[in-house]
Amino acid sequence: MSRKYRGGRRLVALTAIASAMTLIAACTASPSSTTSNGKTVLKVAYGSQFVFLTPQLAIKWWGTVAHEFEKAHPNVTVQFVPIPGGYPDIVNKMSLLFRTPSTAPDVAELPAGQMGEWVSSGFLLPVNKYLSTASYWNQIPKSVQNETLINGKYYGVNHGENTNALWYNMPMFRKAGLPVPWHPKTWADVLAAAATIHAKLPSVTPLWLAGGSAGGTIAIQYNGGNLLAGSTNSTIYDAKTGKWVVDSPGLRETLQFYKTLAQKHLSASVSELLNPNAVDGLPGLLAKDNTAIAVGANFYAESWVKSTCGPCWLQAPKIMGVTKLPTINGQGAGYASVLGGWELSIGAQSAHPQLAWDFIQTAQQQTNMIDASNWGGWVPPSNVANSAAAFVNYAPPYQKFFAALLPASQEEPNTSPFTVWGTGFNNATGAIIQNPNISIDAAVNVMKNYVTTQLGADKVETIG
Amino acid sequence: MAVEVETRSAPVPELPPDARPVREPRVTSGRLISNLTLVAFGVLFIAPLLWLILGSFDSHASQTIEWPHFTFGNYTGAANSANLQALRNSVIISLIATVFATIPATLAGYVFSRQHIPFKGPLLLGILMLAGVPLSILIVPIYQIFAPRNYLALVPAAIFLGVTSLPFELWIIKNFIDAVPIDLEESARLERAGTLQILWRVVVPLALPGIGAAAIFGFINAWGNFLVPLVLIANASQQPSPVAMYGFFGGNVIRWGEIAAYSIMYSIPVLILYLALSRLFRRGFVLSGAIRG
Amino acid sequence: MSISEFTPAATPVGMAAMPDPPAGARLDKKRFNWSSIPLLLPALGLLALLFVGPVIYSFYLGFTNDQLLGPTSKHFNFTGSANLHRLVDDPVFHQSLYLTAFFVIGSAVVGATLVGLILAVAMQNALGVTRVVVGGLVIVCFVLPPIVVALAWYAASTAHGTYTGLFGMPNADFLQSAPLLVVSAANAWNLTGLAMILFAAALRNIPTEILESAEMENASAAQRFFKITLPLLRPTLITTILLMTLLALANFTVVYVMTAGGPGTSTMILPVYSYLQAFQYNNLAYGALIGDAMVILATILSFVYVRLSRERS
Repeated sequence: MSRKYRGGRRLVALTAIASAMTLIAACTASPSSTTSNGKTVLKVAYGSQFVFLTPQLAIKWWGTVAHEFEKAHPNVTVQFVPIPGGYPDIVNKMSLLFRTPSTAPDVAELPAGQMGEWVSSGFLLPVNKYLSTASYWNQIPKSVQNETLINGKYYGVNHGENTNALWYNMPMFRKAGLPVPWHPKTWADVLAAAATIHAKLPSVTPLWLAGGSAGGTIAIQYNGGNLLAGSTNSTIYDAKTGKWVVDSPGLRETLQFYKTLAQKHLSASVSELLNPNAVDGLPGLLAKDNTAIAVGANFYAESWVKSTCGPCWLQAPKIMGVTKLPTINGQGAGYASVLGGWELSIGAQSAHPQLAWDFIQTAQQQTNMIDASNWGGWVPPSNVANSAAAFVNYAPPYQKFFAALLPASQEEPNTSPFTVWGTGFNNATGAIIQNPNISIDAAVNVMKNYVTTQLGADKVETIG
Repeated sequence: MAVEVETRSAPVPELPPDARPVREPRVTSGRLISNLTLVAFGVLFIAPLLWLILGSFDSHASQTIEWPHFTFGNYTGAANSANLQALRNSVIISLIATVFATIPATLAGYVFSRQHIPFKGPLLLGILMLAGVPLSILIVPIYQIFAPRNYLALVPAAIFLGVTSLPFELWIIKNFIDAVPIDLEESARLERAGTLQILWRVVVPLALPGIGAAAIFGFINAWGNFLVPLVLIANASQQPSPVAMYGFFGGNVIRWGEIAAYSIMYSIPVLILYLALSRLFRRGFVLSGAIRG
Repeated sequence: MSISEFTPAATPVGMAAMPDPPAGARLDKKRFNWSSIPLLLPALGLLALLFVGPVIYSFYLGFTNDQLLGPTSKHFNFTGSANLHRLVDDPVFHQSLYLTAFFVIGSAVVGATLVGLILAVAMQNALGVTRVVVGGLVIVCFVLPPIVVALAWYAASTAHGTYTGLFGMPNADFLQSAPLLVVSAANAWNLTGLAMILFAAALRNIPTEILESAEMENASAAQRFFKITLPLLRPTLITTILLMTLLALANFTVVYVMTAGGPGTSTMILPVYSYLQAFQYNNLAYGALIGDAMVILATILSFVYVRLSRERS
């Protein structure tokens, strides 16, 4: 053969070696099956960075539960599938995990927000038959239990909940001559207090209410969603017609509230409100002692204590008071709060549903449930747990207050189109924050047009 | 006549053979403009970085830029063992990705530039088309390929990242080889050198700046990628830095200072890589000399 | 011995016919070389396995009703042109096309390429110190992961940020008032480093003798640049523009983290819209279709590029 082919042969040899190396390297991935060393493997998937207040607390809690579980079940190894990233990343990765049978987890920590979708995908196992062995189940208020109730079956048990109320700065209130403790009965009362603060303490942000699309649809339950829940008509999804509400008295009242805040300069600057981290940054913001009132969630209390330090604000109980967010006219229960939280569910394809349930039982055991809530920024769903000293005294006096909000708190719809509806809602509130002088009709149209385009005209409706 | 010659002054000294004409002053103004331009852009470019730098030393860092309460605590806090492991993982992933992108790209780039193959035009177009594919639409199919085969680990994910840079790198390298005059290769071929020898001894050294640029690109592409490791790596201890970064955004606690500090720590390996490779870009060569000599 | 010696004029009368041409491969005409195959195999093999396959599958998905989560996630059907109809009627998609065009031209073509060229040229004549410091700075900006770019730019372009301060309007919020401009600038800021490297490498390739002889003939710096350097840089220019365009299209993380496509839909460039549909609204199929539209866009651009570079040679 002539010389020119010798180089070619060397090339072929090199390529073959390289390809072989690739294949060998690629095959060094760890196997995942349902048995390992003769022990059964139980796959547990959870959000590792976003769910608990800090990733370290997540590792600590899950590690404890796994340890207790393995001690009670020596033939089982727990294999964790920690999912990093933010809320949408957790949902996406969980979806991918469930889609592929070989990676589907046995136990999954799922957000309440899309429960309907997980169920309609066929990913989850109904747990009705196991509930009789759950001593805590009947201690959970109906409103919370309903988070996993779809078509008559329960698809998980509640792990921890968030409720919302009004936080207010007591020294500022006293300085402005407002009553402490504060008990507003209507939205007008709230706005009046904000106006007083604005007049007497001009350098302070009177009332913090975030909006806009940067925070995502997950932010709605911590800001505007609470107002909508307290309006005269809080329907988001009309179960009777199967349509999504894009125009209603409730929506208009909520948007009007945003507009009043923006026009009278009763809220923070545009930049601050439309910030993607407006929700998560609130514990830090309030700790700066520059905001008088804020619509906010229970987890700030657990963020400020020494064991979490997000940030550390040990004087918080002397400065920040809490009061229920009233309904617009004081109607109904008198207060409104959106309910959100996390559930523990069993995979529909799980080869070991009973073991999965046993793991969940370990996780829901009272000490673990209380620890989860303290470290996750939640209220324990069980009435017994959330009145226990270990919870109540973790961040007094707030824990008891937020736990009492559970029964009347409302859940947001838990199907996929909610993210579309939510985007429309965020676009409307964002438009008002940016441009306080637009009419309510214009803001409603922003929402209506967007949602109608995305979902189709036959899936939306106007009420009232 | 003879008298005039004898009174002539000393002979004019001979100029050395490579003497150059004296440079005109307008080069100085050119240099001034160049330096000023660089400084102006430097200021524009550093503005967002100021937050990063100041925040990393600020114990009360927030999302807005403010004069820091000086501390090194953010750096020590960010440099815990898990985050350092993530940095190591980032280096490994990026190196693997770069190797799997640059070597095939160089080999193929040479073929596309110099050799004749059937369907060259359509193939090139197809490869360039791949360069425009958004990663988000590849994620689900790739996951469904990798998951059942237990490939959800660092090495396969790194290889995939490398492959996503391959089309770009191929184009960069091909273009550089196009710009290299073919004379040297032809004289090497006349001396009966094999293809591999020509590639290794002649083409690669000449195209090294281009290959270097492509390699840097491939490295960066893998270095900054968050989506691929998030989806394709199952084991938490194999996750790279962009994913670890999210840990600072924990559920409800955002530690801006540590984010800034970690970002800076995270930029250092790539800076080192660039500085090491920048010799390639400073190394000039004169082609005509190579042919004559 | 050359062929010309065998022309009839030189052939003595009565001589035999012309001798055969020299044996062996012709060196003047390109022929297919078997060594091409092993050289191509790694690249084409990897691309076929890990890239082309998923792309084809993604194209197929675009015509189904697959969801990431929901009733049609595990068991989905082919729905023909239903998604296509939706795409054509989707006002957000139309807006997205315009926004993408602006974003790409603004940040990639004008922003990154132009600034990269200016920097590379300026670096040739600059002091070593300035070159290293500014060059290193720009590279750092290229190196930063997208999430950091987004955060840094968010801090810089909102109230009390460095840019708002620099332009004397500390309370203004550039990001909210001109979102597309700001995210385009952020993207350009991020990509300029690569353009600079490419141009720097290409400038090194320009033989100094040509420039020196032009200088000796009293050509001004501007003339030297526009008449000699720029034409020689043309292939790199075209490649860089194309690369920057494709990179801008691919770099959705920066925009997504900064604005999530908002406020409203004012920064809803195609990659963000595709991601939103697939991973937020769980409409995997529709998101894939939008992604396919991006691929077609990229193909058209590539076609244009191939045409342009063919004209050159």
